[in-house]
Amino acid sequence: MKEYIRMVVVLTVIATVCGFLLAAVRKGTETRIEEQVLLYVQGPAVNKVLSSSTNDLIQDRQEISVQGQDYLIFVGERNTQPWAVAFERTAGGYGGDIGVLVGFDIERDIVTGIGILTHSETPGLGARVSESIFTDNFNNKTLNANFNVKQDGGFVDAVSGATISSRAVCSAVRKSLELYPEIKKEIVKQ
Amino acid sequence: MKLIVSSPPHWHAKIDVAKIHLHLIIALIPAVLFSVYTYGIHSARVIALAVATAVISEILIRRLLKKPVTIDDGSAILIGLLFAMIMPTSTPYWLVVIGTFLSIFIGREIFGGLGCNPMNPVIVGWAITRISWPNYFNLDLASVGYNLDFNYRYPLALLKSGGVDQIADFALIDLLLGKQVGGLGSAAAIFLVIGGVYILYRGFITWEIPLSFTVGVLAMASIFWLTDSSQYANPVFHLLTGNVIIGIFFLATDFSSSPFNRWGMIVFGLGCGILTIILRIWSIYPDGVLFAILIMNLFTPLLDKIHKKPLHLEIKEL
Amino acid sequence: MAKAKSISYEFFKGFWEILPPFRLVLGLCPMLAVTKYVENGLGMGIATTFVLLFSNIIISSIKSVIPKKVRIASYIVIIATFVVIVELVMQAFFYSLFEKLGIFIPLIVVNCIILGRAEAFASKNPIHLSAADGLGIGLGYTMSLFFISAIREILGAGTFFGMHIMWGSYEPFAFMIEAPGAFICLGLLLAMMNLIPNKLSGAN
Repeated sequence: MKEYIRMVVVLTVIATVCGFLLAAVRKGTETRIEEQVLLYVQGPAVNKVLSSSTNDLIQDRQEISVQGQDYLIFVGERNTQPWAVAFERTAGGYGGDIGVLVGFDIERDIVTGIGILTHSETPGLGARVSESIFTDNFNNKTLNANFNVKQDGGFVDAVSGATISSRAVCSAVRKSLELYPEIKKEIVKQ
Repeated sequence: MKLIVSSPPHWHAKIDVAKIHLHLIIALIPAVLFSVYTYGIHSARVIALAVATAVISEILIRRLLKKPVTIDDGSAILIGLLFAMIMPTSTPYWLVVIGTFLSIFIGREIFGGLGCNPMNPVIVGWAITRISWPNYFNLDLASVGYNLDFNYRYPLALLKSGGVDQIADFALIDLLLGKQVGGLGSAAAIFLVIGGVYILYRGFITWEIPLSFTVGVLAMASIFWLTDSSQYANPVFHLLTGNVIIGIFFLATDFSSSPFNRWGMIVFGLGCGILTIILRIWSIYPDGVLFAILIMNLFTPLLDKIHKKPLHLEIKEL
Repeated sequence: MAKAKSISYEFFKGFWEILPPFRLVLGLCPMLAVTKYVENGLGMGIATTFVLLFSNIIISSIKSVIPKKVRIASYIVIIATFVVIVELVMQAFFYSLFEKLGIFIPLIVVNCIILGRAEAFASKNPIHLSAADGLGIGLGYTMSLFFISAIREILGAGTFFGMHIMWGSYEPFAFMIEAPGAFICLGLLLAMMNLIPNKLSGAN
């Protein structure tokens, strides 16, 4: 019996100490990791979809609240005037959620382009939705275009062999479209 | 029951290994002559370089490892010759040298020399170079610059890229007569068949693998062809193009990497044929023969375990 | 153990006598998976060294209080903690390396070398020797990873740390940076490592 108690105590103590240590390290690196992720993951995508902006997109990111929910948005400016906005929406793909960043031109009301931020699709198949040959489908499309894959009557060429992933991207884009009018209102207000 | 275990090659106890290799080389001569006739000096260059490299590599490796040099058994010459046969005529000299060296070194000597290789050494060398430098294996480019009296496009690449409509103007008789683009020796279908029948007749290889390989290719291709002949090529086309004929007679029958009992050989051959068609239809490679043989080589130890009475049949032991 | 246990012996044995993964055939997965490029190999080696050093020190210092029946569980908890620390730190400061190594960082937990050293060495020896052992084995492993990834990157991509070092018309031997190339490269190196001591002892 005494041995059992000792085992429980030792393991508990080790796990607790390790837990605290990890929590401390996580706390210490949290902000830094967030910055790195912004720089390496979102940075290239944001700079691509809002490519003709003159401001530092990552630095000027802001959080706004729409209908009680917070969204991280990137506002592109030209001559200090906001001209476009980009934000991320997710949809369930084949291997998990796919995070899609969609850029909108608020002057002309069109989709400027999309970038895939996070995904866990099959390499070589679903993962190919992040290649420009697929994402270029969405460049400069009006808001009333049919954002669906061709099999479903839309205009998007699905990645061959990866219809589920392609559909997920389309559905994430449609989610952004729903949110876009609200976000535009907020930006115009500013 | 007492089993006698020894490493292959082991049938034909009265004939020595050197003689088998000599006759295999003789059997390849018609195809070599045809290739030199069609492509001229370029073909001869690749063949000579491959054979020379094979022999020199074997001598060097054996010297380095302080093993007896067994160059006079002709196996290195055969490996070099077969390697050249499946390469395009336009192969640069360094690629021939590296490929042949890898065939001898990685394919055979590492495993202990003649009779110990688990995979066909020629195909090992080919596979490594094929993966590393795919651009040089573009057979369409290999035919550029020759004055050929037949369609200068590689039939299997056309089938892969353009579908079955593209291959309508390949007459089967032309394919049989070697009037097609392919590996420098492996395209010469009828000449390889002549060589193959010769070694079969003389008993240097047995009939099981060639027959079951052929049946495998034809059967699998027929299944696809009969379901939708507008989408899949006909079985005879599959049999006559690419490396199938050289695979059937010369590569799949390699003694130490194929099974040595009758049913094992039949399963091995069928597997090669079926995989060939599967790889041709579904893989990214136009021709799947060599990969198919390589994959089946890995099953050889398993197939060797098939002994008497499979399927409850009474069969004679070899 | 017949040999005297000195710090320098425990440290230097990791460089030749039981050099992983050639002599101590452990830790093969990361060796095969991340050695495409020198940068990745070196990063993986250093991360492993860090985990090995600290897990050895901690395990050695608390070895007397860990009950025998739950020792493996305790070791794994400690090792996993250090692996997660490495992961977080790498994510915070070397994000591009983190992206390349990806899943293989969390998998350091199951690298046999680390648990192997904890069980075979740190749980039986005092702290200073365990630290020397951990650091030696770790650096030896880093050295091996560097060596094999240098061979693969130079032959397979014609580059070294991303810089072109082969002549202009060099056609990369792409097989070497594919998975089968890793196996063949490792096999040949293992064979050579066995050949050298045989030759040496034969000469004496």
